[in-house]
Amino acid sequence: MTAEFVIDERITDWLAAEAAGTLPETVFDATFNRVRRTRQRRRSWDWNGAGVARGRAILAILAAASVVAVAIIGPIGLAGLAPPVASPLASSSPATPFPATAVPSPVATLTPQHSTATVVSPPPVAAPRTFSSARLGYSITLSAAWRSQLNPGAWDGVIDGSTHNADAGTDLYVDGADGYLIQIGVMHLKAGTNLARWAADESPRATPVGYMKDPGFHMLTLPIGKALYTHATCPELSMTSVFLIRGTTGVLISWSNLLGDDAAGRAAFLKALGTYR
Amino acid sequence: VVQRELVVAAQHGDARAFEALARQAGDRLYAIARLMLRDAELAQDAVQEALVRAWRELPSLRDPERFDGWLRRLIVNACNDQGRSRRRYGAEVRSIAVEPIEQDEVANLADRDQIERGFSRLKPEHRAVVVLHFYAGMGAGEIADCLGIPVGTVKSRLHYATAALRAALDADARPTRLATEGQIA
Repeated sequence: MTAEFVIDERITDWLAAEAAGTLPETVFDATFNRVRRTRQRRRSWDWNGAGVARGRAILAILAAASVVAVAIIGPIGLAGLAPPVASPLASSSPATPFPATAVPSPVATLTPQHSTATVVSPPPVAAPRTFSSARLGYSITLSAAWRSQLNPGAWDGVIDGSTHNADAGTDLYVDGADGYLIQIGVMHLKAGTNLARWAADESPRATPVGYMKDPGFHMLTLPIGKALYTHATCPELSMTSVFLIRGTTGVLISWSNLLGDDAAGRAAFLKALGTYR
Repeated sequence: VVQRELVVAAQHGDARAFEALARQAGDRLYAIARLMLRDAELAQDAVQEALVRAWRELPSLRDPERFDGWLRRLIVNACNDQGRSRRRYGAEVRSIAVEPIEQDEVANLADRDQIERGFSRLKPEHRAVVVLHFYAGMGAGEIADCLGIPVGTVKSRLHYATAALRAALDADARPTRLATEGQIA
């Protein structure tokens, strides 16, 4: 037994003695509470079994789509080069009880310029949606993926109404595409309340305790006036809170992402605030 | 239930399966974190962060069989994050028995004290390889895989760290002035 071996054994013994201990139950409780509030990060292409299966399915669909495209575009292309009446598709189409001129088939109406590969038109872009709240007195335009919390099944989380003093009410919106949330809360203020002071007082309640590490406030100029916003983030949550005052009410608009930080999503939110009226 | 089945279930969003996995691994992770951070509270925070991160990133784990190694990597990273954010390495205050102790125990305490001091002086990256090698029983290749660093780097860190610890233990041969009424590590 060498001296080095003996020393290594003593180091191992010491580590084992120092490591003895049980993780307190409170840590498990806190961890599982966070787990229940945390969404798993799903990637469009991951290499676990489900991902591979999904990937293969996508490849299969793409392959099938290309076969269909070749089957359709190919003959159409050929048809476009030949006179319409001589098209083999047109001549081989089944007999119809209706006169050919009454309900023209798509093939018969195709002209050479339609028979190129550009026949697939781009999908229509969904229009942004404007949400108005007579109760809280605002309107805001968000991208098409956003839904109001009133839509059944759109929101399966828990809304903690105690996080700030929105005594006039709170509305919640969910982005069905990216999982972002927007919460708009309105609260009554004493006349003459200063924006900076109110924002500083309200922000600890508006932002989950412990996540905010003195991020500071930024000035934001909206069409309806000046606002202050602050951004707090931690690994499983990112939240931007915007404070503005309209008359005797304070408006807190918070955007949050349950999957951590996302600069692009946050920037889109700040841009959408330009539509807040 | 076989661990692999739990991992696969958790990957598909089964929070209960994940809780079972977390309970199985909790004490092991806590031990590694305490050894690396030398602070029970920081270690608890690190375990919590590692487990939440594990839940969030679990769908991206390619091979469920490698769950344990993957989790060890997460706890080491969480410890590094904790250490960087708090800068409290070596700040733990520990008490040693106040009762009169036998001569053998004096020697034993002196021995432990020397290792403790040597270990506390190691850089976090050196502590990580020492803990994974001597405590978790991992080879250089496994550690390299776990930490995402070359095997050569693991070996050099291990060489440096064990040399430092051996040097600290060599001081054991010299007379010690261990106070029997207690001391701060």
